[in-house]
Amino acid sequence: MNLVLENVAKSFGDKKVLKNVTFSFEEGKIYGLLGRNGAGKTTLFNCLNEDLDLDGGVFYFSSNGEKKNVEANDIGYVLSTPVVPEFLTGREFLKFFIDINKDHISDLKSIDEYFDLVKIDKDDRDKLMKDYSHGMKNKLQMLVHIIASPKLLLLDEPLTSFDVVVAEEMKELLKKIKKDHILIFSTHIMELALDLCDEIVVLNGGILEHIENKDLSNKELKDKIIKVLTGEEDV
Amino acid sequence: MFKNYLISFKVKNAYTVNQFIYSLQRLPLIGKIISSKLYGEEALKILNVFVTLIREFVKVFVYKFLYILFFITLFSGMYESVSEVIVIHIYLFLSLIGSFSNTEIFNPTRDKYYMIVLMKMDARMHTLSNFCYFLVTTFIGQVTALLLLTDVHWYYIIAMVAAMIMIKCIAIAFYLYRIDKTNKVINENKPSWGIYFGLIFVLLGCAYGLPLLNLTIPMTYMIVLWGIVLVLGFFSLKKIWNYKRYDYIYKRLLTQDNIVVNKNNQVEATTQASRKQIVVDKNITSDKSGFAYFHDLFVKRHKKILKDSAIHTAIVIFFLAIAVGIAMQLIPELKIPVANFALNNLPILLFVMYFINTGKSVTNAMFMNCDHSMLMYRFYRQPKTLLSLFRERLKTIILLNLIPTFTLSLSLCVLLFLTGQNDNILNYLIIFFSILAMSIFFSVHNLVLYYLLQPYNVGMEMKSTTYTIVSLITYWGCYYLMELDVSSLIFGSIMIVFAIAYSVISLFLVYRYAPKTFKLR
Repeated sequence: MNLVLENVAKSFGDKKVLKNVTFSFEEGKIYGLLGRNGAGKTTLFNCLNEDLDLDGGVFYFSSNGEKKNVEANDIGYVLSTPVVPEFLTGREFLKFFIDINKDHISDLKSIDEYFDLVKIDKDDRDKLMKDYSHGMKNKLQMLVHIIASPKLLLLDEPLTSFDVVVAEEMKELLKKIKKDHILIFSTHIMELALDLCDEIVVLNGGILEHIENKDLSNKELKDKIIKVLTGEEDV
Repeated sequence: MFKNYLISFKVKNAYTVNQFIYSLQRLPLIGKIISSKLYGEEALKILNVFVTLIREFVKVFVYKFLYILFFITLFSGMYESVSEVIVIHIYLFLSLIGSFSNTEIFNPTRDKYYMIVLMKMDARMHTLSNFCYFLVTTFIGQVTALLLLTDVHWYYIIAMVAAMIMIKCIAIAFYLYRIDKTNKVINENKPSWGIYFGLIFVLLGCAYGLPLLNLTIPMTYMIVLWGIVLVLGFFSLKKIWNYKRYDYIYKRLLTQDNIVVNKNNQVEATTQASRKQIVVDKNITSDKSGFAYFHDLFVKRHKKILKDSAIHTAIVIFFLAIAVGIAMQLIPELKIPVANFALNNLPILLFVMYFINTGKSVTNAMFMNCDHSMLMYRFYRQPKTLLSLFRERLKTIILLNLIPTFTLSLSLCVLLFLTGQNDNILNYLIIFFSILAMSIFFSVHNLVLYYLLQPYNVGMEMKSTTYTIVSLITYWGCYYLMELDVSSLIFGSIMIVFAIAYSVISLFLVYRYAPKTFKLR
């Protein structure tokens, strides 16, 4: 299955942030979405998540030539700043989330198994989330999306707030779940994108470009990305 | 030093103009025409000068004028004859209050943050240049206002204003001395409230109370006092002038707890404040499921602002009612006005109910501690789930508000019964149910407005003009209805019908539109 974007356009006032973006994302891959500050990565995510209305274009799932609309349950959006209801404990939040979404969750596990998955300590599971660290809130946010297991997972700078150990754990987790999903991972950090992602796409000047990485050394790939980002080279 | 002042003045102007353009851009219709290119527009320098002149004129003359008008001219109506001595007496005590509540130097402001922290201007030069400007403009403004608004001789006016300035300097010099001794820096916006208000209360008492008892400071003493103040003030000024540790003071004052510098900072401050409303108690659990579970925990963990506050209001009403009941037994003449109130003044209760209803503060907590984060999740915004939570919330808000309301309506009926002035049972029924109807109306109104207009933005600021306008209309509506001269029987009946109709219509609107309107801005 693919996520297909056709002529997706979005402007703010005179500024065209997305200019007829056309692209196809494949299932089973992690896409690293690179772009300079203000390039429109978050705008693209907000459009896909229908937080913003598109000015033009469409996006849909395509499977064996069949088109299917992207429904609310098909998308998970992990924000760079974690947002969780702070008046609940981690366990209560998961229980609530599972209660509400149980019809869509396949292969339901116990709450503690889910906690184990993201390695949240036993002591922290029953603490109010207002006392969670930034990283722990982020893990919880990531976890509910993993539980819901939507076809398309949008991750906006998700690893920046993790310490190195947790960041590694999360990377492994993403690699583990990628086979049934389309993962788009936005980041400023090129090394992270090269390390984790199967494909690199660059959003520059409102256009999404795929960086061909066959037969390139890491150094050559980096140089190429920088050139595309600075507008010195077209793909 | 003048150069320093000029620089900080220019920076202040630049961002005043920018703020002005920014707020213009936020206006409906007009905002669309205003381009962001305006910020760089050279021609706007003229606007800059204009804005500066207006701002400084307002600060120097209008504020001071209002201050003297309000605190001296209006209050002097309390006395049989307003002599020069009384005005000078009041002004002296007001100066004492100003000496610690308005020092300029110990007021952490955004200007200072920009200049001293961000732009690394020399703290001492910045402080002294701005302080001089503050003293000179205060002097000019107050002398002008006193000349225009009082009958005090001009030479006394100059002396009393000069003394006021010197008293300020003495207080500041004392604070500086204390910093050297104890390293404690005061923040005039965050005083220790007990002492602060105690002192203000005593000084206000001296200012306005003593003249009522024909006690004022005699003129000869006043002149001696001015003399002493001038001498001490001179040495204090010297201390302020030569003081070296202003950078130390501002390192402590210009922190993120004291001033809101940017959006993140503000969000953080709001989040911290709302977190404090959450009750931490390990025993709180819920046996419900789904949205009922979620909401149940929300209510239990916000017990302080929800249940407790409703119960406190109910207790206050209960004891007030008992007090009125006892008073009626002791002074039977009171029975008639009490009965009159119950039978003819229901519109006043509408206004009371407006204030008692906690709907607004509850929806505020709902946003800050719950919806602000949960609305980021797609599943939470699905029409079905959104409306099921709405139902839970509506039930809670109505029930919570019924605690004080029920106490109020029952008390009023009992009091009416005790007056022995009414034997029409219909009156009791209408009074009882119309007050409940008012409460339900406000509960529905507040929650429906929240769902239909969702007035907060991601930065947790109230940003909806429509919401503000509707809230104002509600307030004014209740306020003007208060003057309505109509029997409780008629007003109450109309109120009941209105509340039912309003609830039905607005619930329909919520079911129809909230899935679209209830989102983050």
